[in-house]
Amino acid sequence: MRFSVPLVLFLGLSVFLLLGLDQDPQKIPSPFIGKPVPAFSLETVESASGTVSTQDYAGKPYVINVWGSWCPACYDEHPYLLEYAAQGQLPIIGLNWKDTREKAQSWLAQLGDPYVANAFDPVGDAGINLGVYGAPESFLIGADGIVLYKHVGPLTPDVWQEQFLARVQL
Amino acid sequence: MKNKIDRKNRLDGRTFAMFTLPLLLIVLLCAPLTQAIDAQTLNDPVLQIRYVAIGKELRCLVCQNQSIYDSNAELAQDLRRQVREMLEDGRADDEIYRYMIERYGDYVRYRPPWRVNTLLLQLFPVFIALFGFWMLWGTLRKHRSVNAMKAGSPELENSESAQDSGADDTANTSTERR
Repeated sequence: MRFSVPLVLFLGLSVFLLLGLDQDPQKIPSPFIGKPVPAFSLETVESASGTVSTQDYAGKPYVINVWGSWCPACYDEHPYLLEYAAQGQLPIIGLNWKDTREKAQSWLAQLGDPYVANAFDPVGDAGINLGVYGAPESFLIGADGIVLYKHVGPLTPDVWQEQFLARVQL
Repeated sequence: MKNKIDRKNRLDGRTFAMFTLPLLLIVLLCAPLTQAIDAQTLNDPVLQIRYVAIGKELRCLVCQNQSIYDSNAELAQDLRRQVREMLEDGRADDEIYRYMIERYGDYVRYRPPWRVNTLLLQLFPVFIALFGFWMLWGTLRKHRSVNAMKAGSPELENSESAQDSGADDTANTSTERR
């Protein structure tokens, strides 16, 4: 009886801290989920005269994948993206973030191009506008232009299946 | 004896010149590095002060536990540039904070807002302090009543220590001695 209060407090704190172990402090929930995706209209990686706009893809669900040739995790992710592109269930728009045209183009030439279009954001403002804080990051956009989900880190088959495909009616 | 001291002193002087002094210099020269190396300053001194203040309020998202003012991470540099541009555009501090929170969530601010989901965070220190005071008050009151009993009636004290095996050591020794 005498130790019941400290014991309860100790157990409570233990459970609290134990739950905390499973949380990844690097994963910050996106405030855009449930809100319209911030529209962008940018040059393409291929040329300064081409444009990619979120408007072009409205009406159907799609994915925005933030990548850069400087990003090792993007390299790990790349074969998966090629697979998903081959399956053709969800189109993937690339947002090439803080990169150079030459490097981005040679990346796509060497590793293959899974993107339906690739926006070029060398300074990084478009990324900041989307709340991007690293690469790779992937946003799932619904047919109505609402952000349904954001994934930080490589888009593995599990995540693709359970978080992306499962969230949109195909 | 005197020789020994002299030699020791000379050695200390050499250690100081060769090791301690350079180390001290390195440490002192590092002092400016505790701030981010930010070549970009604003021409208007008032804007510069606001820029620094805002930079210290915003959390860098990749190098957590550093503000964007403290950090040299690329993202921090980009966010600082964003803040600078907005300040030069004549935006208010609140607008800049709102811009960042809309994109990166409440997490980007070091001072979280008062919301339903932050109530626990905001009130927890108060609860902890109140709990501490409550414990302190209880302990003090117990001690005072034990002391009062010791001073007052020895019989009561005896019956108390017989009932409660975990009674104070001082109470036990005092009964034994009697």
